[in-house]
Amino acid sequence: MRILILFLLLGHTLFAQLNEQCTINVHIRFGQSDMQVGDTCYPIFQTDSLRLEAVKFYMAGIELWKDNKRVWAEPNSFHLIDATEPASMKIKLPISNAIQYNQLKFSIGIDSATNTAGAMGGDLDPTKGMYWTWQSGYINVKMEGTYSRSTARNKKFQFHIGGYKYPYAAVQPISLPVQSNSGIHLALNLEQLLERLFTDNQFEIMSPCQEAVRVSQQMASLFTLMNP
Amino acid sequence: MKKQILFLLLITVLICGFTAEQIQLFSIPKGWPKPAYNMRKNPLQAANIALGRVLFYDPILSANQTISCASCHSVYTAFTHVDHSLSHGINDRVGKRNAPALMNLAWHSSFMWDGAINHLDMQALAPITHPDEMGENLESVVSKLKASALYPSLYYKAYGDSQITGQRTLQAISQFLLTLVSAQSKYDSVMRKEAIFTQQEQNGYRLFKQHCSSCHTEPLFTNLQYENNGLPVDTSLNDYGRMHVTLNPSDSLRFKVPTLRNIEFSYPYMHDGRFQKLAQVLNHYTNGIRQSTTSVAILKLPIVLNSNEKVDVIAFLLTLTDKHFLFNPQYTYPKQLLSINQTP
Ligand code: HEC
Ligand code: HEC
Repeated sequence: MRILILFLLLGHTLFAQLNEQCTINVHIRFGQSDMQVGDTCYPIFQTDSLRLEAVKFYMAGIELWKDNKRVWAEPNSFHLIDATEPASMKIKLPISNAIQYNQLKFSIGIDSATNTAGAMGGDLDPTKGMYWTWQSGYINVKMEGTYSRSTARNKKFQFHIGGYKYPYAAVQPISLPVQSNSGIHLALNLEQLLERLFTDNQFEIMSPCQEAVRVSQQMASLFTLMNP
Repeated sequence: MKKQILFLLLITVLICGFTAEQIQLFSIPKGWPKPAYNMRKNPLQAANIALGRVLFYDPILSANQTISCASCHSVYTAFTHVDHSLSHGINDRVGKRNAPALMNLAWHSSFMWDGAINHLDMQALAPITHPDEMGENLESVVSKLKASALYPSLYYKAYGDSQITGQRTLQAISQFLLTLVSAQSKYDSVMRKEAIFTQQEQNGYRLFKQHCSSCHTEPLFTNLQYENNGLPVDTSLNDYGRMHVTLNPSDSLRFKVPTLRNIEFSYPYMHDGRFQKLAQVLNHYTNGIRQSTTSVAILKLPIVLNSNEKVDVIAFLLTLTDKHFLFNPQYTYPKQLLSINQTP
C-alpha cells in the first residue's frame, strides 16, 4: 500500500514536469528561401532552375547534452522527416523543465544495428518507402525532382542515399550548440549540395557507394540553427 | 504474502505455458547450433504462423493477383521452383536466378544467392517489389489486405487487434518460414543411431566428408558462407554473385552455399539452374572446375572420384531426403484461402 502511494506521488511529479517544452522545427531551405515540394521552381546557377518532388530523411538518436555530458536521450528515437508532411517537421521532445542543455545531437540515417534487426514499425515500417527491397537496408535520405539541365530521363534527379556497412556507411552524426528553454529551429539548406552534385554531373544515386557516403557527409555539414 | 505467492505462481504458469508452446511450434533438433533468427523479437505463435502461411500462398501479394510465394517455392519440391532453371514471375517474365529450396532458414543470417538480404523479415520485400516477380509494393499490398474480407480477422487473431502494417505482414511471413525445418531424413536417423546406412551410402558419406563438407557442412549441409565452387560464368547472364552486393572484387563468383538437404527434389541445380541431375553436378566437381582469383584451396586440386564412387556419393545425398518435411500437412495450401474461392 505504501508503495502504491509512493508510485502515485512519483507519477504526479513526473507528469507535472513533462510539458513538451522543447520542439525541434525542421526547415528545408534553398538559398534564402524556404523550399517546398511541388510546382515551385527554384533558380540555380543563375540561369537554370529546379523543382522538388520529394525530400525525406531520417533523424535518429536525438540527445541533449550539457557541457559534454548527456542529460537526455529520446528512447526509440527515429523520425521520418517528409517535406510534404508539415507534422513530420515538428518533433516534440517531452523533457522536464529542470533539464538544462546547450547541445543537440542526432544523426541523419539509420544505424547498422537497426538496419539488421528485421522488420520494424512506426516511422521505420517498410511501407514508408524508405527501404531498399532488392538489397536490404534503409534509405536514409531521398531527394528527387527535376533540373533543367539534367541529362537523366525526363530531366529528373534522384538521390537515394543510404548504406550501413563499411566502407559505404552513410549515417552521419551531427552536433549543434543550442539554448535551453527555447524552440529549436533546424535548417537544412540544399543549395550547395545540389549545386555540387549537378556540377559533377550526378543526377542519380540509387545504392550504397562512395558517392552516397560523400553526399551524406556534405549534407550533415549543411544543418544549421536559424531564427525563424 | 499469500497474494504474492499466488502472483508468482501465475507468472510461472504463464512462462511455462509460453515455452511449452514455443517448443511445440519450433524446436532445435538435437546437436544443431543456435538459430540466427531472434525469436524473442517475433515470438512464434500458432495464429501468426497460420497468417504467414496464408500470405505465402495468396497471390494477393502480386500486382495482378496471379503469383504467390508458392508459385516459385512449391512445398513438394522443398519449396523451390520445379522444372524451371530460372524462376518465372508475373506475366511469365523470367528472372535472373533459380529459386533456392527453402528450409532451416532460422539458422541463416543472410539470404539470396548473393546475400543481398540481411534478415529473414526483409526477404519477402524483394519478390513482392521485383518487376519480374510479383511487381507490387508493400504499401499497396497492405491496402489490399486491409480491404479484403479475410485478413483483418486473421491479423486480429495473430496480434490482438486488426491493424495491418508492413512490419506485421513481414513478421508473419517470417513465422511461417521459420517453421520449415527439415531434420528427419534417413541421415538424421542414422546420426541418432535409429537406422544404419547401406555400405554404399556409408562409402558416399566418407567421400562426402572428404571432399564436400568444408562447404556443405553438417548438420545444415551449408556453412552459410559465400564460396566460389568453380562454375564457369554463363555469359548470357554475367552473374558474379556476392560481388554485386559488396562491390568487392574478392567476392567475385562467390554464391551462397546451398543446403543439400532434400537435394533429390530441388533440381535444377546451381544459382542459374544449369544442371538437371546430380550426376552432372558430380561431373562438374571432378572435371568442370574453372579456376579463378577467388577459387578456394580445396578445389585447387582436382577432386578424383571414379564412377562407382560418384554413385556412392549420390546414394549418400539421397539419404538427405526428408519425407516428413516434403509431405508435412502444416506446409500445404491453407484452408482459409479455399473458403474465399481462390485457385492455388
Ligand atoms: C518469381 C518467383 C519467385 C517468387 C514469386 C518468390 N520467390 Fe523467393 N526466391 C526466388 C528466387 C529466384 C530466389 C533467389 C534469388 C536470388 O538469389 O537473387 C528466391 C529466394 C528466396 C529466399 C532466400 C533463400 C535463401 O536460402 O537465401 C527466400 C527465404 C524466399 N525466396 C522466400 C520467398 C517468399 C516469402 C516469397 C513471397 C513473398 C517469395 N520468395 C516469392 C523466386 C521467387
Ligand atoms: C568450395 C566450397 C564447395 C565445395 C568444396 C563443394 N561445394 Fe557444392 N556448392 C558450393 C556452392 C557455392 C554452390 C552453389 C554454386 C552456385 O550456384 O553458383 C554449390 C552447389 C552444389 C549443389 C547444387 C545445390 C542446389 O540446390 O542447387 C550440389 C548438389 C553440390 N554443390 C554438391 C556438392 C558435392 C557433392 C561436393 C563434393 C564433391 C561439393 N558440392 C563440394 C560450394 C561447394
